[in-house]
Amino acid sequence: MILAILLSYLMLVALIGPLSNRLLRATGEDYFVATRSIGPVFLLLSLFGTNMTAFTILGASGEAYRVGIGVFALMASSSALVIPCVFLFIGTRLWAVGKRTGILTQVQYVRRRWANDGLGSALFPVLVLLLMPYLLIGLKGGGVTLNRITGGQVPAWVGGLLITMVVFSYVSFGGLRGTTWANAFQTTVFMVLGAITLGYIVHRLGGLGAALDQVEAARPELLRRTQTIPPLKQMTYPLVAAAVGTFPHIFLHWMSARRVETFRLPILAYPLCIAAVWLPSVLLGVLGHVNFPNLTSQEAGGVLIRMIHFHAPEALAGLLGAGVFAAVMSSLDSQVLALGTMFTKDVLQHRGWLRSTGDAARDEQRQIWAGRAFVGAILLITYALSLIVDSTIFGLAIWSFTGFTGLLPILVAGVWWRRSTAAGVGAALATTVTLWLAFFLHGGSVPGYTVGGTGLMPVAIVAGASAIVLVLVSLATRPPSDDVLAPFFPDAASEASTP
Amino acid sequence: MTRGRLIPALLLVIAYVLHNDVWLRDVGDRWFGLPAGLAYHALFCLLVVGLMAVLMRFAWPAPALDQRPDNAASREDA
Repeated sequence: MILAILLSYLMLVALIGPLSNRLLRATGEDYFVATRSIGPVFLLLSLFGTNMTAFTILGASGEAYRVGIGVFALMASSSALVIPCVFLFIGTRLWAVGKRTGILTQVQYVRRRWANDGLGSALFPVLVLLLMPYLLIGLKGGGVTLNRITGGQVPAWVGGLLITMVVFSYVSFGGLRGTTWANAFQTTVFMVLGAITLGYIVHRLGGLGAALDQVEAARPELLRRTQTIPPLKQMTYPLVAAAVGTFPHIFLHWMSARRVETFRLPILAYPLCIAAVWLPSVLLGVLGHVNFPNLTSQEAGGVLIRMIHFHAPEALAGLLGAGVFAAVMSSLDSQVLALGTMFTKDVLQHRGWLRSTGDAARDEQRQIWAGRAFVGAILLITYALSLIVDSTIFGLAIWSFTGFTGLLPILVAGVWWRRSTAAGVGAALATTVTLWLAFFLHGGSVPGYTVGGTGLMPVAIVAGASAIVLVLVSLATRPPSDDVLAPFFPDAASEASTP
Repeated sequence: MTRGRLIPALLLVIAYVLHNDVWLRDVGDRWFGLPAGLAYHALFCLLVVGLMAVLMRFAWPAPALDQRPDNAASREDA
């Protein structure tokens, strides 16, 4: 029964690609950014769904099982504050630049904003490498889900393979429009099913008060934060959420917005969506102690699935499993499409490897097929890696986010600081890569690693150093010319040219 | 610093301070049936909605950015 429901759900999602393909205009811009035509509701659901991964659904409940309710303060409410600010202060500005200049990717932006080809070429592999762990989270999460929810009958590699195939089908057919439709549908699914799961399981446990009393009696520290979350960790953790500003897939979704006004709804509603999804996740993780009091750290990642499997009847368990699949796929799709877009635009096209045939329509088709091929290749590589890499889901995400946040000063400077220079940006990029590697090699295998055990997140040092280096090197080098800046700061340029 | 920048900056600092609720770290009470530390941060999410509404009034991009013709369309028209 469970397997039948999950397979039916996957087939339903797979159909979205062919459906959206009927609207595809056979141009690269339509495939990669839906001709910048996405409205506010779809933008909200796709931005939110893209950010809610197995990291949220499985990782957060697993982490809540280990350290308690403090996880909500660390990741959820800090995301609720930081992410809408990033949309407002960075996203709307980048959207306007994209609309004016035709830019689709961060690599294109960096190349043109600082008139430096090498910067873009250096940024591309960094973005790919940082995104890979994030992709792995999705596939590993899917595998864990199917394995747990079928009571171990279906091996984890089958879940990962199914997700790979379904995501490839609708991303390949529908491009960003298909991805956005699938995201909107799946985000709705996992938000609704998350609330149903919490209500049902809490009811089975005798009500929220009674269930929390049981946790309080056995593990009171999980309902407080005194021992589990150091203050310095809570102070620096919001920087992890700031990583969203440099995710290539979020950039792509920003570019897809119809108007700048389209951003208003996502900015306002994002904190509410965060609370709606994270509250059930964190509560169910903590309540896991009622039924499964002695899980190891590794096993805790699957506590939500154990709870569903233990409490819910088969039909509901199948639907809830589908909700987890929805969260996993709604992130994976945008991520691989963003990588496909960057590969097509920033490598193939930029290097002249996709030469014009003289027929514009044919050239557009070749772009789309190149994007599809790269999406397929990335999915296959990620799937292969997911079979051999072993790490907790949550741990992988933190390191990925740390690197992305290190790149945030670059985009902030691009949008807000005319004086920033290519040398400054290059130095910031090098600093981020160096420090990220150093921290990862030192603490990558330590669960909950903080600098010297103080609670200070490595992201604070990586992002801080990146920002400082960017400022100092920019000030020490020649400022960019007005010609370079004009497309990015049109108001300033027009003021300067006015006698 | 202009008023348009000072107010958003102040509001963000206040929000950040409120997020770091050291005063609730060891409180084991229940608010609305939830552990106090969890209920507080759920309410904080609601507060952020109000904050964003105010920030959008002060820091929304200049209308000119939205209304300029995009280059691609201009080229096609030409």
